[in-house]
Amino acid sequence: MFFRILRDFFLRRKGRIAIAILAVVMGAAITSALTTVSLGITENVGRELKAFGANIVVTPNSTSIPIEVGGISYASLEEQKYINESDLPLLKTIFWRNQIEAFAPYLYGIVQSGSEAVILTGTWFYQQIAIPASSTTLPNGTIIKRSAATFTTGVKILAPWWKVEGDWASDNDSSQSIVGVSIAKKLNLRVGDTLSITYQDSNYDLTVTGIVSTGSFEDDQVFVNLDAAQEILGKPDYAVQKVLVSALIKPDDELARTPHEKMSPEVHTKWYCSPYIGVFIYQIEEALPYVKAKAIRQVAETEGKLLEQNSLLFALITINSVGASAVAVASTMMASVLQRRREIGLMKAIGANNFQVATQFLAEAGIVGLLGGLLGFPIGYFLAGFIANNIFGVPISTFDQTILPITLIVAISISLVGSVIPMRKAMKIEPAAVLRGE
Amino acid sequence: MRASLSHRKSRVIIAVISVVLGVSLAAALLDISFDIGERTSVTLRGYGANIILVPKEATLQVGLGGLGFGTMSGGSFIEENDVAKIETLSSANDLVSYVPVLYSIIDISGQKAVLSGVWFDSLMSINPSWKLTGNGIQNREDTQSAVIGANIAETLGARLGDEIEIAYEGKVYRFNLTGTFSTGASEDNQVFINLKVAQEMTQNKGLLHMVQLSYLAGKVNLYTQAEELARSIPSADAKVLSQVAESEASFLNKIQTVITVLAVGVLAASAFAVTSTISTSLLERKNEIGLMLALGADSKKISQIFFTEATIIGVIGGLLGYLFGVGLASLVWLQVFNVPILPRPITIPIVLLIAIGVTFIASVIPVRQALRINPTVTLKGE
Repeated sequence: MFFRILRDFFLRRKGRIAIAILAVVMGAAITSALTTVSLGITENVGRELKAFGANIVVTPNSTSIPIEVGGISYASLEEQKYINESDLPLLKTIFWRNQIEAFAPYLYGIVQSGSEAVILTGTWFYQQIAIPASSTTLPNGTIIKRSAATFTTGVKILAPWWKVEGDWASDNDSSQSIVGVSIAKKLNLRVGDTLSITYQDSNYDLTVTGIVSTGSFEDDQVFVNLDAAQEILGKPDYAVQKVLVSALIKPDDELARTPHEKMSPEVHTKWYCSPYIGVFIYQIEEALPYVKAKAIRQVAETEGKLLEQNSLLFALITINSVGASAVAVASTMMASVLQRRREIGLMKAIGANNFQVATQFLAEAGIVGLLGGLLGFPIGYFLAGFIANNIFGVPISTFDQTILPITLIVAISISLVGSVIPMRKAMKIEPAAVLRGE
Repeated sequence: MRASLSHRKSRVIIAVISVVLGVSLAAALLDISFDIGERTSVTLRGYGANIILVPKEATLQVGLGGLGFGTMSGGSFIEENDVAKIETLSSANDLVSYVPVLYSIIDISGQKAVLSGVWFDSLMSINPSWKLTGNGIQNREDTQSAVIGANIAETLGARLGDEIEIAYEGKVYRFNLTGTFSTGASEDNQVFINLKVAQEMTQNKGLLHMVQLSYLAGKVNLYTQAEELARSIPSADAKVLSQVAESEASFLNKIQTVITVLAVGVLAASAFAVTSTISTSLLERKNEIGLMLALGADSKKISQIFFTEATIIGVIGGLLGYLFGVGLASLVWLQVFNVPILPRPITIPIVLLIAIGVTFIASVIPVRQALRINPTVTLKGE
């Protein structure tokens, strides 16, 4: 009997069932789309924020004050300390190595071009480096081993806002250079021209492969690869003055603000394994003990704030939308149960008790919810994929297995909840009155 | 007509509730997508200046305005008098703040360092992410106070309240160290005093090396703004910091697009839910329509009644929904940004149109279906 009514319900009332199922499908689609989007938003926004550039600056530990304006330090008169170029791959051996998106070394000097003084900057443009195998000891004593790898990095990845007319210079050809747009204007240089520079009575000819404009201090610099800068400026062949690092961070919370010196080993391990900006700094200084790493506050802070705001915003939108679509679905279910008052009256008249009626209706609602959820989930997932792909330019990274059960539970429960209220009302009705058509 | 609405209270209430819910969600998301850009651009101001003014006649700027290699070699300047024009431009409303800067190289405890003469209050509002320990320089006339970068403070072992000695061209000046500055950028290696004091000290009265400006992203076109600035300040060139400017614009765009896509999705879903609720409840009224037909009403008259009903439900639901929606959006805003949302009048017609449209569409199918039926059959109860 139970199953026959159930079967008949689905076969005979196609139109009405379709409406109920579609309503649940919509609700489920919203649930799964929004949940997927808001779970991934932190990562997507974080990646977008990389466009603002490096958030950590690494310099050698020094006791002298650099003469520094706009990120360029003009040789301080004290002895100059350097970061060793061959140590740079160690930056990618820290615990959070995978969250380090890019880094680039810098070496500055002032050279003469004719009567003009220009800043010569040596860096990596786009370079593949070998990362050695490494092992990290967590504060609780666990040892994590990582195998060797390769990593492509340099200014081209670190500073995506650079507008280069012409080509990027090569990391292997020391005669190539990229010239800042202000210098190009001043010296009348075009792509393909030769720029002659003099440093301490030695002359060098550089080919201009590209002209860069950023609106900032880069417009007044000449860029060559790091080896060329070391040679021209007469520095040791490992010399690096500064490294800029771009790391994907997590916004600071309570744990991040606790001084890590005071943490118990368990808490310290938890902290060590969270990608806060402070953790990166700690781990970089651990990997290269002779450097000082610092957060570039305007990038790191703003990044943290934006991430936090966006995650919260999307969480709230998700909760509201899921709540509202649940109520909307419930009201559809309500309307469809209300319609069946006569049926309920008939069932009661031929001897069904309230429990049987209730079981019948809840089973129907459950099936509607399940079907709606199963159909709605892929639609929502597609919508989330559309957002990720078209707006952030990356596919949804990992299929989160919790989303399907969440969607199904939401779908089934809203369908059930929507049926309960009208059903209780319907069960109070007098079969005779309903059948008479009142 | 009145009877139709008042006699079937529960059913009308369900219809109104479903419209209210759908509309409130749509209104909330519309409001959010209108306002998100502005809110985010306020947060994005944490990145600092997006336009800078530099001297026009500059020889190549090794450092800034001829500040080179430990010496101050004349260089060229911006006239401070010209800079006041920034505040008279039409874009002044979207200007967060601007700060004029004069650099020089000084000696501090026997080491060379960069001295920046600034308006300290403006510097702080342009760079809200910089961390100041202690006090800033409270007013622009203060000749006693200095703030130093964290790196200098650490190197010199200077502490708040200390007296620091700054030597410039053989003369020694004394300042009270009121605060230290942690920025992670070059400013960690600089000493800050009031612009006026720095100008007098270096005999560069009325002259500047640079002006940093911060405009709200998304509100002004920074490139046209830069052109306008360059036109009105003859001694300066205006440059857009593309790192900040372009990233801001693209970030804002993306966030806004995500919200809009979600708004449209949610809107479609709630429109559908409303449609289905109303259709279901109208299907039930077949009897009524049959009775009307039997009593001699023509289809036009019946349609009129039902569509008027739909309009009333749509208007009531739409207005209530709008109010709920604004409340909802405001709650979200208070949680996320600590400010209430600014309701946009434009949302009212949009949501009303949607509400009435959806209710109408929802009514069309069941009413047409009902009109086609044979009154006697319906009245018999089949």
